[in-house]
Amino acid sequence: MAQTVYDPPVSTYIPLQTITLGASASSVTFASIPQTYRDLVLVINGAMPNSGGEPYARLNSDSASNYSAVRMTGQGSNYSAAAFTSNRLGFFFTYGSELANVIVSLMDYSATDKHKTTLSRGSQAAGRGAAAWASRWANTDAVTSIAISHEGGDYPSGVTFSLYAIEA
Amino acid sequence: MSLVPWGIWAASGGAVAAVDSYDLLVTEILTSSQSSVTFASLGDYAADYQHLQIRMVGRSDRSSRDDENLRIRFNSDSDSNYSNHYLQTDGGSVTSGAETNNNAMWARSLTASSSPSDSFGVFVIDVLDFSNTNKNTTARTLGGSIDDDFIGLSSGAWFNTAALTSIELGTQFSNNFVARSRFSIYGIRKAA
Repeated sequence: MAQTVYDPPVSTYIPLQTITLGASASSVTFASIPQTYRDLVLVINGAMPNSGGEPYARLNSDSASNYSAVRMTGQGSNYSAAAFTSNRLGFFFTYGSELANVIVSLMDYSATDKHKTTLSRGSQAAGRGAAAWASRWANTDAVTSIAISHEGGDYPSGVTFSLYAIEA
Repeated sequence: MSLVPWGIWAASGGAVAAVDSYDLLVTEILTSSQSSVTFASLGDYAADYQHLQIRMVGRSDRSSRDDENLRIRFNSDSDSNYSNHYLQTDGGSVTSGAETNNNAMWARSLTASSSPSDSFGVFVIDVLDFSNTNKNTTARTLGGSIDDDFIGLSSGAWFNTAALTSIELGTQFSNNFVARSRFSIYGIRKAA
């Protein structure tokens, strides 16, 4: 296929929605995601559940073991890596309640001809480390909803979840 | 819980991040196999944009997925004028390294014929100060693929101060990108 050159260029990286927790919550959901874009960027920022664990997502309410991931994590002079399958889309691992931020790119979310793969960077800068993850949802469906939870329990009040969309 | 639709903020002209700061320039979605994709005429964007970002979803037709990396070249230069650093894992161990006098930048990793049929590698590549002629041009990439089980951060330098006029994307072993692979380039505007 020939390239599509946008002349004039098309402004994109569109903020779709921000959810700011006014009280602790076990999950937040971005629903009815428009299908007129190609990539999504999810940004999570705030304190994390004290018991630690994975912040994660389920796409289109799929809770079956259709997800897999690979990660690398550095914490001080220690580092680790793992690859695994799961019943959720993982993108980071937090320890304790300290402020964390995660940026997740969900590529080709509206395409129906390929599995959905994410790239994530996360950090808990106050001594807890930084990580990069890639994850895949083995499903060719377009993503219409993203439900975000945390393995360690409720997200505290004040955490923000922002979703952006990018055309292609 | 409060819901903030940012689009309304932007429409009201309030104190928000400037609109039109991140623009889609070119997209190519392959309908058949192709050995490379080139974004050309980048000089046309030099007056308005400071940085470039490439977002791509790609798969190679190589039989084995092992070490099938993304190849990045600037201005058609295939001489040994590139260097790379990387931090990566295959899920088992974390490794890092450096490569000098390369004939391209490399970013890991594409899926290939041995991967599940609908699985693709993904990359976000930032090319900084692409039209500045006072410094060599550098790029950084976050790339990953599952089934190849790779996530990697890589940085590359092109030891040439020429402004970029083209970026070519290929595969490390000169195979083809398969149909459905997608390549998009964006411009990040200069400050007014």
